[in-house]
Amino acid sequence: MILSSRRVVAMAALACAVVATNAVAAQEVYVLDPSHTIPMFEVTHLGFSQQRGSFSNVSGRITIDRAARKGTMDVVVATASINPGTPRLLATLKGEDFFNVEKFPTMTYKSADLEFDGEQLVTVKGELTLLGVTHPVALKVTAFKCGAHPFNKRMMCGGEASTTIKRSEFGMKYGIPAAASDEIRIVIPFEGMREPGNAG
Amino acid sequence: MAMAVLAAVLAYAPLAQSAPDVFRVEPGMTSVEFGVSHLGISRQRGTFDQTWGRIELDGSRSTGRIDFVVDAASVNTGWSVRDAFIRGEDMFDVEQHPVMRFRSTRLDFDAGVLRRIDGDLTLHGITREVTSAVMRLDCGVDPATGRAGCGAEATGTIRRSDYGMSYALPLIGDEIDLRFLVTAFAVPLRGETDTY
Repeated sequence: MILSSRRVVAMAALACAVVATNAVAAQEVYVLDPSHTIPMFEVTHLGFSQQRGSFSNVSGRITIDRAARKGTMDVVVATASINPGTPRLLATLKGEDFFNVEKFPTMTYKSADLEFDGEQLVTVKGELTLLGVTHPVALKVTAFKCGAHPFNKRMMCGGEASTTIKRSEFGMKYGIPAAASDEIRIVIPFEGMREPGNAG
Repeated sequence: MAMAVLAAVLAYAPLAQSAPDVFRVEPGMTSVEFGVSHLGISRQRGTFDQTWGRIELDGSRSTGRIDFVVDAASVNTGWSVRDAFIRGEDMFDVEQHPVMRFRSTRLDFDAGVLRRIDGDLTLHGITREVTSAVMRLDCGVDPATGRAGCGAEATGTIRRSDYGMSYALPLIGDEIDLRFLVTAFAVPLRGETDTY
């Protein structure tokens, strides 16, 4: 399999951070694997053309208390890691009319409200901060699954989170609707590896 | 890179018969998304971002044909290490097989609207019949250029093992879901020789 030095570095850094927190006994901590957690977005151009892109630098963690069926999610996305399908849009998307990455280098998502249907994580209700503006955003989670990694045997969980936001609510109003629609469809395949530091 | 190959394979003589609407796929505005199971835990997704193609549709006669080419090296999963792996010999082997190509064999219409596309997909040097459902087809005009165009979303499923790509099965899944997000603009004048 492919090993990511980025992943190793991220895990090492986060492992130190996790040890320092006062872990609740029943709480499982999963560190998002940045190589397998790639938020994708989709926007309509000219009213009929679907355009896609993604962000390639994501970090974060999910905590799950299975007994209580509760949990949290914290995600940070480096806005400069935007990866449009077509390179000619890169400078425009990083610029002031869109993500304004110099002034707002990150967008964040925070939730303390994970909803489960049995063992399945099905909804995350949280707040997205983009361009310095914070609004509630709910993520629908499908295909949530946990199991042991085949090689290192550590528990991992994954799934796909999705939602639709209106960019105008975050002050990103340029070019609505012709250049790019107000509605942005977001799909986030994700994987998290369980931290060994806190026994559940 | 793949342009020379494409110029050769896509050089069509214009059809003389009826007058279908002819569209040229807009490279850089068209992508092919794929999804594949990773360790049975998540479905990883990526796109191929460089495409070419030609679409002829005649809704009144319920006929048409599609020729669509994808640059196999244009894979984009958001992780460069993985992109290199997908381009490499264990997967697409883009040095040997620089393009994927789909050629329609049958188009199904419902009340003049394209609903289903059957055709031959050549991938990794192997050709198999595939079918694709058209989920959406919207048309309009680009106000900046005055060009008429359409956007379509079509979906399908293939097994990579059918195309000789069996590396790391089943840790990386066999079933690949495909989602074609195609933007195509009308060729300026019907019958005019269009080169691309």
